[in-house]
Amino acid sequence: MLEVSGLTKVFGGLTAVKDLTFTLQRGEILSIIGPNGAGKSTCFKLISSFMVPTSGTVRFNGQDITGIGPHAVARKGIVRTFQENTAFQDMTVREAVLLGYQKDCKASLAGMILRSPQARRDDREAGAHADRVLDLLGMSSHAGTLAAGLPHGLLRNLGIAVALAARPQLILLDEPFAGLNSDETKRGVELIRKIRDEGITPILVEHDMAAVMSVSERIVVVNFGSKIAEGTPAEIQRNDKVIEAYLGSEDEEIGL
Amino acid sequence: MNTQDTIPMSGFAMPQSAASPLKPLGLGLLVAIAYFIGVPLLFGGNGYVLNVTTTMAVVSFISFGVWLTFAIGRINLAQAGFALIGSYVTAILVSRFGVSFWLCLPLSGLVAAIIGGLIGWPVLRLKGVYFAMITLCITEACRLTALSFPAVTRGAQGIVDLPLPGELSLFGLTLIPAFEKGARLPFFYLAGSLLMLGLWFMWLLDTSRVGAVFRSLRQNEDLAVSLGINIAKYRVVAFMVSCFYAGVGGAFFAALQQNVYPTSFQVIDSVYFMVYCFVGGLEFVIGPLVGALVMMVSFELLHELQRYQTVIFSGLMILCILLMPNGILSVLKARAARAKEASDA
Repeated sequence: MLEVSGLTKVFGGLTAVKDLTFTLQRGEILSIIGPNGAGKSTCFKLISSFMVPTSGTVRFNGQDITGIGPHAVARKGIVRTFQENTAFQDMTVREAVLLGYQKDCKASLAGMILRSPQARRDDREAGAHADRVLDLLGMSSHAGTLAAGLPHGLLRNLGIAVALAARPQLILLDEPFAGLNSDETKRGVELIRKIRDEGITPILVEHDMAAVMSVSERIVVVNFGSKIAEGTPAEIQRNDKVIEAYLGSEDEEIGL
Repeated sequence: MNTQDTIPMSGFAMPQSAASPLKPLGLGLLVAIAYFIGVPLLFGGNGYVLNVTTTMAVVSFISFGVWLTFAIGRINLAQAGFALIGSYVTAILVSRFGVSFWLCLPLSGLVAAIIGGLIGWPVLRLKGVYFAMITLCITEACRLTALSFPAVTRGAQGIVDLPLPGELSLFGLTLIPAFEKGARLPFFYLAGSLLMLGLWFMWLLDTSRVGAVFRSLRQNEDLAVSLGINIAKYRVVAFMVSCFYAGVGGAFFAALQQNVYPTSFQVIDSVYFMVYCFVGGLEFVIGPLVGALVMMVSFELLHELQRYQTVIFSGLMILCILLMPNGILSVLKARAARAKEASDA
């Protein structure tokens, strides 16, 4: 479904991502992990075309989508979420989710403004779709709440809801568990499985190891921009390079 | 088509409309009645009041454009520049080619919109103070362009003695009779019609899906683009609509004053268009109208004070911004919300 090959991004003298190659099968839950500054988020930005790679290609369903621009990538079926709590602050939950449907609206610009029959059909479909997404995430009761007034955990869910509303085939989740307590994380893990069961393939960039190990089917480990390991959670836990990347450096710092 | 709250499908109602006492349809009717019936009845013989009201109506019309660029999160100081373009398009077409004013009016808007689109495409990548600065420069550039091409614009002498709008007829049926010399009411009614049309379209735009997209651009462009929304396209559309309003307003003033100079619209006018939006309230479609009304009426009332007029006016403006940073309408909205809370409790 997704083939990343030889992906490289250089910022001045710093190589943030170096010759990264991996593939993803439809319906598989893949996580990209690595220490801080390993280039995971840059990798996401390159896939979703928020940045243009220095070299390398990203292919999606056999098509080259390298650097075609973020809205074009979303139209192909790849939607990303953001770190932190990125949301449309002054919109209600439902309004924000309705916007996710925008790219699938068929009405013309004038049609939308003048409420053509097509625009009304779009609105009905968008509404039905928004209600389905909110239901899936268990947020129906918050439909009328302003994003600015939501607690942290729900705000994170809203980010995922808005992305799902855009009907992606592939969803890039950037640290979906950051700042969540263990209860919320557990629900998040379930949610990701539920998303996958809906036929949407998730990729995660995540720090929370326990969550990553429990949810992922395959893990790609990145350090200093390069892939150092790839495999199932069990394989990764035994991998010497991974242990060194995570623990080895820390040992030196502490002086053990 | 009564308000949003009767139509369940419209999740795109502006958030305030649910709590606001300002119901769009009723409010629109109120404005129309006040303008078309109230003012002529009370001040029909008073040319001075009619002049001020006419100017206010079209100035609000132009400010609606600025309001729309605020909606996508841009501070637009180019509005006077595009109004000047509209003025010159009408002046040149009417004086040189004898084109009917009624054709020039939309055409001026169209030319301004097209030029706005061409300039806007690259410029709208900028945000915040950078966009404000470059649009300020655009206004100045329009004035200098008008000065620099006397062959087309007659430079500093301006284009003067423009004929009054002729009659508008369709298949021999006179829709609008020719404007007579010295008559103020025709311009007054034309300004009012423009105002109502402009307000209606803005409201339609703002409550539509496109309006929601515009608001999403203001709140988070990255998130919007990640959802597959072509933000570059929508930014340019908003800017072009804004320029269209400026062009039409500029054409109106060319006909009203029967002349155009490079100084007819300057940076200070751009600033005023922006301030009307601020004073009225950026959340509300009708904000620019309220802002223009309050500011122009209070300025005229201070006329008695002669040379202190500007000083006191400036002081009042500062107070206005200090006490009502989100505009006059936001105070009304807050009061309505409190009243509702009290009645619910």
